[in-house]
Amino acid sequence: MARTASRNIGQSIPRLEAREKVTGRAEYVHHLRLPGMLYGKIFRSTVPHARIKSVDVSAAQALEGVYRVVTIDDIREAIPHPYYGPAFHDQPILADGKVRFAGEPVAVVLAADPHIAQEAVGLISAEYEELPAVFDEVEAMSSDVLVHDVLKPAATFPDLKHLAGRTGTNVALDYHLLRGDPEAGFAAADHVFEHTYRSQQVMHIPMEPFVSVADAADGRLTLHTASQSPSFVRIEIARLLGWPENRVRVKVPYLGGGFGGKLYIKLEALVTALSLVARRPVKVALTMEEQFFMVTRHPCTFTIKSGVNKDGTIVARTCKVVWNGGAYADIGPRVTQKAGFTSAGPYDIENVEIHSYAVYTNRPPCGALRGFGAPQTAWAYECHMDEIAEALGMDKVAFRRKNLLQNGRPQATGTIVQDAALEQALDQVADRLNWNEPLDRGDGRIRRGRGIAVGFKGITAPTTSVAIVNLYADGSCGLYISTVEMGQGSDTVMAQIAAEVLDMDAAAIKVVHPDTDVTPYDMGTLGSRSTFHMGTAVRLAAEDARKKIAELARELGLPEGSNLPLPELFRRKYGMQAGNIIGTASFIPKYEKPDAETGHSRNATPFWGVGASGAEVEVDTETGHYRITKLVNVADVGTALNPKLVQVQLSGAGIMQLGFTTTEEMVYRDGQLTNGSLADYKIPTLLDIPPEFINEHVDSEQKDGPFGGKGAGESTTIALSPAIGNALFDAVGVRLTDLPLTPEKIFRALCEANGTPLAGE
Amino acid sequence: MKPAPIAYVRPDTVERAVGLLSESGGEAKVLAGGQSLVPMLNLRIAAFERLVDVTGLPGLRSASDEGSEVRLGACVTHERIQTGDVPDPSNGLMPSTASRIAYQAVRNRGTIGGSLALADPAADWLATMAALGAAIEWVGPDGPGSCPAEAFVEAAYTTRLGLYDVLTGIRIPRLHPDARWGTYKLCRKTGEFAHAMAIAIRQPGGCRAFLGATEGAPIRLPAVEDMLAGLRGWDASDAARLGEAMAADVAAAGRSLSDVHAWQSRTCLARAVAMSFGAAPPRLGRAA
Ligand SMILES: Cc1cc2nc3c(=O)[nH]c(=O)nc-3n(C[C@H](O)[C@H](O)[C@H](O)COP(=O)(O)OP(=O)(O)OC[C@H]3O[C@@H](n4cnc5c(N)ncnc54)[C@H](O)[C@@H]3O)c2cc1C
Repeated sequence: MARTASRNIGQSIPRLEAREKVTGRAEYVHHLRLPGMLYGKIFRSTVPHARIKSVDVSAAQALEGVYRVVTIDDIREAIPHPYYGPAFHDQPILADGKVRFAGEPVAVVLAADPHIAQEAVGLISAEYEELPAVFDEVEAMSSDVLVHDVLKPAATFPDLKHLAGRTGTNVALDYHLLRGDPEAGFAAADHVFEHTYRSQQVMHIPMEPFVSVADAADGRLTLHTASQSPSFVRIEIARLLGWPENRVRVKVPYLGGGFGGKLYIKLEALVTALSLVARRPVKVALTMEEQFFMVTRHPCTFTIKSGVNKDGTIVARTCKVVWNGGAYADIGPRVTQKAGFTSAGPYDIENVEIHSYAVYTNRPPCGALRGFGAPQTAWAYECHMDEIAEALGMDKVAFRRKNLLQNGRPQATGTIVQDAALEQALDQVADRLNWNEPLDRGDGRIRRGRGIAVGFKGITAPTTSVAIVNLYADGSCGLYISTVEMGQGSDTVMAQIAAEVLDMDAAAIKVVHPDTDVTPYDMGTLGSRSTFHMGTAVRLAAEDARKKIAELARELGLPEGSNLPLPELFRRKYGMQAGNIIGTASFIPKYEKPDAETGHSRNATPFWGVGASGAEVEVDTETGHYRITKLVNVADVGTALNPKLVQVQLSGAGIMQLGFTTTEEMVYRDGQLTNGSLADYKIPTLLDIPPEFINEHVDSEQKDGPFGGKGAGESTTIALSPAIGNALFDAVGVRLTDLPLTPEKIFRALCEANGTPLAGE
Repeated sequence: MKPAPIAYVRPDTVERAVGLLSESGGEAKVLAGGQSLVPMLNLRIAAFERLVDVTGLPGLRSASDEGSEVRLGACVTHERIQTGDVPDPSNGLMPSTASRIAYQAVRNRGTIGGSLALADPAADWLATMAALGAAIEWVGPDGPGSCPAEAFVEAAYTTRLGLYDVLTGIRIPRLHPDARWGTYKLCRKTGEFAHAMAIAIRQPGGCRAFLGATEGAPIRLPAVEDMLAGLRGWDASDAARLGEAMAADVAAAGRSLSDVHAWQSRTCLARAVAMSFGAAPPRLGRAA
């Protein structure tokens, strides 16, 4: 599409922070040392579910150099109700009488020297009365083992109100959608297919592990924290303390990756309590290994059933999705609902029924992770699509295209789809794979195949962003936003948007990093929302500033369009270099919350995230080992505001999902994580990237997005796993239903298909 | 994480190194390339008061060609073996093996002696040295010692080396010029340790066959060796008989392999044998 040339929009402007980062000067919380600061090291539970009989801290307390050992009893003195969480106030700052997963924090040692604190942790012992535990999400649905005695939803989520005080269940949220009459649909359909697919537990692995510093003094608190959601931290900490928000200051410098992990409250409640108890600044910095006990991605079991006619029209679909939320709900209930409502896939189906459940288990908590549940649901619905096409003998792309949701048609919720380039993305992947050309399928031991998948996601709503554009007296500009620069390039894109309106160079704009005393509210840097939400707020704030410049010019009696430079305007107004022009704006998109019974909404999402993937694989049929020889990801990001940044978002998300597809899995024995270190838990490295790795965006536009743009950070996570699973099937004719796709599983399945099943473990 | 504070010495005689180790009462540890030890210190799985760097000891980084055998100092790196910087007694088996260990960065520093001393069951040199019939030499408080590589490993991460012994070198007999070898290993990921591994050497006067990447020491396969001695060529239909021989050998050694692992080992073995007859094993990701 030809767009008028702009010096900002659509330009691959280098990251504003590039020089700082490559010269090692960028500021991170890990570097921060405050005078008098203590380090906290965490003593963790060794059992998955137990009543705590006693915790013996005497030896730790006696170690020279230990300032204090803290348990929940000490914390209660500072915070009488020490339970937190974004959706449920279910998580104690330290274990409170019970532990609910192996690895849960039970006590903290404070010392001026982190190594002494760590040594003292080794001197703590705890006695437990072990309780039966439940780890599997499907079992937890009906298990007698209860992870929590009572559900405690947070008041901030009106749609969870009905769950308050509920007992006798592990189900933290159930979301339901009904459209048409699925039973009648199945009865009338020519074929009915039903399959179950599972996704495993994985972790974010940010390069910068979790770290927070709290400095509480004189009834004020400053938090320096590696958080994706400083505004939420302030609100939740103020609630815990019973203080007004203005006494809590949250500062976030750069983040070394977040991926959804560093959202809501993580270490912030703990360091706050510790600082209040110790009356000293306190820092807690996790190790890479401890991150496995902080937050992870939901394992998921998804049973999907479709009624399909001979011609390939899908007439009915039911989805039962069970999300393993671990011991504390975190944002799981939101994942359940947001990924729930799109779990029937991007298809135009008349009769749909969805049941999506968040359940507690005795595993480390699960929360948001790049894709917010969409990759788990797409793993199921896109493998299912291939299985149906296979059974009907239809081409996999043609079968999808026939059923794909078109713009202007209602999605399962009833929301009319707009600006979702589903078919374009699918076609572009098919084109890059040369789908209509025959593939060399190999022979003998090495077989080749290819697979394709497409998916979409809704965006968390309703959420608000506020931006301030501050023009200084010399005409230079500061942009005050609480969007967190965590490597995604938000500083650069936000500066581009402001610069476009103000007719400046993006590089000349200073982006002021989140500091809740200075930068205005933003819901959080999450779920592909910043470009659309904050981007719109920034655009409006910059327009507001422009309007004020025009007003000033008018006030000074200048003719319309006089174009006097800004410093000159300020000089004329104030007689010297002085003053500011402040443009502000807030943005909240249109949204209608889903009907509690039917799940219907006329406006279920601010926009659609769209991703399609294709893969070519080679499988060694004698071992099950395989190699992805070509991987294609195509996303709809609207207008690519900065094509280079879009490119690295797409490839980065793709590589991350590649790990979740091929090697990554948190493995447990009796509730104990057995591979909680990067020596055993394998993530992709550069050498694991397929030789042909294509990441592209389609030519599209999000009409209500800032300069046509929308989010790009998650799109390529959605369809990648099923594309590979489908390619493996195409190559060797075996269908794996459980992620990750390991050579052992393939080999086992091949043996079974050959009629020579292996004995089992 | 970073390791706990630790003292570091780099002695210049073997006697001094052994002395430092025995004085410490177990609180000192030998450091060679550091590719396995340093990560363990960083993760704090291991903690010592002192590291005794052996890379400066006389002779530990040198190699000598003694005609019927080659002696490699313990601190010869994988990289030097890979590039032919040291004499190769193995008709190319050792350079080929070295080139498939981990990543280049690990090969640049990791040493053959460190690999053997650590005795990770999946390490490449354990099975390779056993298959080549090498001898391992060390010096300890009681003086020098040595044993065949085949008898060096007692269990996973446990060798004949005593706490204060320094592995000094490896003597590797020269393969017959007509010897033919094949080796195959399965790794899930680039640079990862193998999940299964086999080596087959056919030569006049005795074939050798070993499985590596087991739960413990490499497994010698005598029945397979007998079968190899009688083979005149490789045919895919021989695989079943080979598999049976392997299974019998594993059982006779008092060892067991889980089902997938047994099949993977069998496939590795068949490919290693086929390779010794000149059949290139299938490799993923090359053809396209
Ligand atoms: C990412 C990664 C992947 C790897 N993949 C493979 C692989 O695929 N195959 C493979 O074989 N190896 C692999 N390795 C291991 C690598 O080969 C190591 O270099 C080797 O195992 C240890 O050698 P080093 O010289 O680094 O020993 P160090 O790490 O210095 O020492 C290892 C141990 O041996 C002891 N030690 C070392 N030298 C002596 C000596 N002369 N006398 C007595 N004790 C000694 C040390 O005290 C220590 O306990 C991998 C390593 C990494 C980091």
